[in-house]
Amino acid sequence: MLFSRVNVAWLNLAHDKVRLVVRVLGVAFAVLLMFVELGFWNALLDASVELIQQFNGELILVSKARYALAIKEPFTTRRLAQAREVSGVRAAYAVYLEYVASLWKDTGIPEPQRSSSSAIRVIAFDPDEPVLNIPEVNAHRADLKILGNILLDRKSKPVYGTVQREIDRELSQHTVHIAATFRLGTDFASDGNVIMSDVTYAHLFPNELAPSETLSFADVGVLHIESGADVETVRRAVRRELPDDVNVYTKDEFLDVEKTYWQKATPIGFIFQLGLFMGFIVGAVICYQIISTDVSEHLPEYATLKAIGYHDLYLSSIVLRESLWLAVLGFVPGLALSWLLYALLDAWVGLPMYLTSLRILLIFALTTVMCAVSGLLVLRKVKTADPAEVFA
Amino acid sequence: MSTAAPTERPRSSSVRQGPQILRVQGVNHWYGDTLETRKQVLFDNHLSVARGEIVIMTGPSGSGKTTLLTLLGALRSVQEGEVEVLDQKLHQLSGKQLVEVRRNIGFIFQAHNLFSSLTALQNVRMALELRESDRKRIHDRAVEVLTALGLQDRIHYKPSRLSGGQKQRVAIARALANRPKLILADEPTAALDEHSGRDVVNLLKKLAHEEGCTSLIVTHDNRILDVADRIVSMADGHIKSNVLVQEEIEICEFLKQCDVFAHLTTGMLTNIAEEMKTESHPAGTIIIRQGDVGEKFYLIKSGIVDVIVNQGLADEAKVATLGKGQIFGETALLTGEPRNATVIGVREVELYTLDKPRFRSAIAASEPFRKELEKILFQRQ
Repeated sequence: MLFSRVNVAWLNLAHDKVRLVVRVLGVAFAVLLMFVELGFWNALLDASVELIQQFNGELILVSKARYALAIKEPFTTRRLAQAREVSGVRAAYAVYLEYVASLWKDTGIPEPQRSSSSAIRVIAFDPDEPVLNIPEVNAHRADLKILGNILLDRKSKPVYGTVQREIDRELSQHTVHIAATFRLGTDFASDGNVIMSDVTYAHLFPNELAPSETLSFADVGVLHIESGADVETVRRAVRRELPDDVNVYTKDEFLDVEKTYWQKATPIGFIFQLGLFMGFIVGAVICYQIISTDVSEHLPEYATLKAIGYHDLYLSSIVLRESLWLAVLGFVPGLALSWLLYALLDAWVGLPMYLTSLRILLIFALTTVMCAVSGLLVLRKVKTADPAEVFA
Repeated sequence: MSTAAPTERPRSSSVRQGPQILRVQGVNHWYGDTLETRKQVLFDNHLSVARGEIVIMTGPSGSGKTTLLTLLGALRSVQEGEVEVLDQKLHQLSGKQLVEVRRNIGFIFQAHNLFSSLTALQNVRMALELRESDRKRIHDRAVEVLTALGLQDRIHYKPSRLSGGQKQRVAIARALANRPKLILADEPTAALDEHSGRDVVNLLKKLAHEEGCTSLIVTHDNRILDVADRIVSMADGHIKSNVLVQEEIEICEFLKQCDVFAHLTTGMLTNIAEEMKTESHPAGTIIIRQGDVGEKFYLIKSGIVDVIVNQGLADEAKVATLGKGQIFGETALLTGEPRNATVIGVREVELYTLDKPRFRSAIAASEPFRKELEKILFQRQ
């Protein structure tokens, strides 16, 4: 330190400790703002794929024509039988989904006050198979073997009425019995979730043309691979063996496909990108204020540096380094605060707020750009520092 | 014999021996961008300063001293005229090149302009880092120069913990750190008490003597006038007077020794001295010719002249030989009669001259003196 170059940028920032704290908190606030916007955006997208997340498998099979989970495009369960033969595949589960015909009636409310029935998402599978990674669901799989027994999502919207065990409700004009509840969450396409056995599903939603063939057409195939097997290798093997009326995705790929669909199909992406952008702008304004105030206050000193022979470039580098210091210093507490807020939101509202390393990197990059941009804007001001004014 | 065709120059451009460190020629300057707001602040300024000179620049505020100083310091672009500093023609340089020139100049500012976030040591190092890359040497030199200014116990203090005088000394240390050949100072002693102010000017004097460092100081502090080799005073954007102090003293002493001026007060003598110009003539030049109308009064700076009176057609008589410090040519100016003798340079001569109107107004300024002078002249006859 003794023999290093004088680090004007850092010394300027660190000179007044109280102000340093205020400034760092200012940037941290902007970081928090961006994290929250990104968090909400991702939370909604994450929510829309929560079901896919919970599938107990590494590979997902869907009809080639299916471009989103909510679009009814079934495929023949023969593909699952074929997939089971591929080496590396331990199990292939059929999942049946119903979004439209599954009208739920809250019979807990007397007829006159009751609102008209609304559709609820039905997820059905063989209760002998561990298709979902939800412990509550797996604990009650046995209950589903009784025809008419269902599990109801506690996070379903209030329109479905009281979520309570051991009561009867009406689904698709059939009486169903809520054997237990579980927690999954709503998304763009569904306001609530019901889990039932494939048998109950066939009973409630028979194929109109061939009722006995109802279970021969699955909506999603979940492939569970042998432990130790390479996902990509197995995927290629399955792909080779199966006709191309189905797509074989890894779970991550399918998550991406689904998220991309929702991002395009809804204004959600735009809204939160806008929010993120606003956060960025607010941050840039805060940053600009901080740096610009700092430069204004030091203008005579900058002019002096010019007078004694420093070029504009050196002064610019001071300002830019100051802004980058601010970015780094502000990001750390900003990240900590965001982590705290994410945890609180997840706990209170139930939104899945995840701080993935990619998202952290993204916000860090945005913070750096934000500070650098404000620094660059302030540079014009530095150029106005007139060395001739030092003799005033 | 050639008649007098003297190479006359105002004394304001009189030059000391040695190389020029600074030369200003015909400098005009304007402020304001548009034609309506444009206002001329400097008018036809000329100045030459030799290496090792200490120049004090005075004048009322708004007289243009600061503007001239910023032009000399390469802090402003020259608009009209020529400015040469440290062998660089500033009027021909680009903005970037001007920045490079500044690195060789030590600036001392009235508002010390120290970086409030840097310690005294770091402030001084900022200047050193411009020229030197060896960090150990930078550190050592910074400590050395701060110590020389009596700040060895304060090197790690930030400006907020230093007194006004200490801050000014740090600023001076910063200016001196790179051993500049030229120091430009704006009221360097304004914030200092008499003792510290004296220390500062003594330091500048020492630098001038030991390292040939030239200083140009804008000041109103007359306590430090005694260090000046040259005093330049400005008024209304123009160098009104530019005096080599030593020369001025010399002229006054010469004048005082002459009977004609023996009774003048020092103030009047300096007034005369300031009005005088210099001219030089090669050997054999006729400086004044008998019978001509008298236009100037002369004081010999160096060399020897013969005074010859022509009384008849061929009767030329050398009546006197005059040397350094002696005067001639006053009689015709006082009496209004033609020259009563011819003066020829025997060797190359340098003369201080005063023209008739100035001579007369100087004389007229003092009624007792006038009587005295008339008495002297009367006695001469």
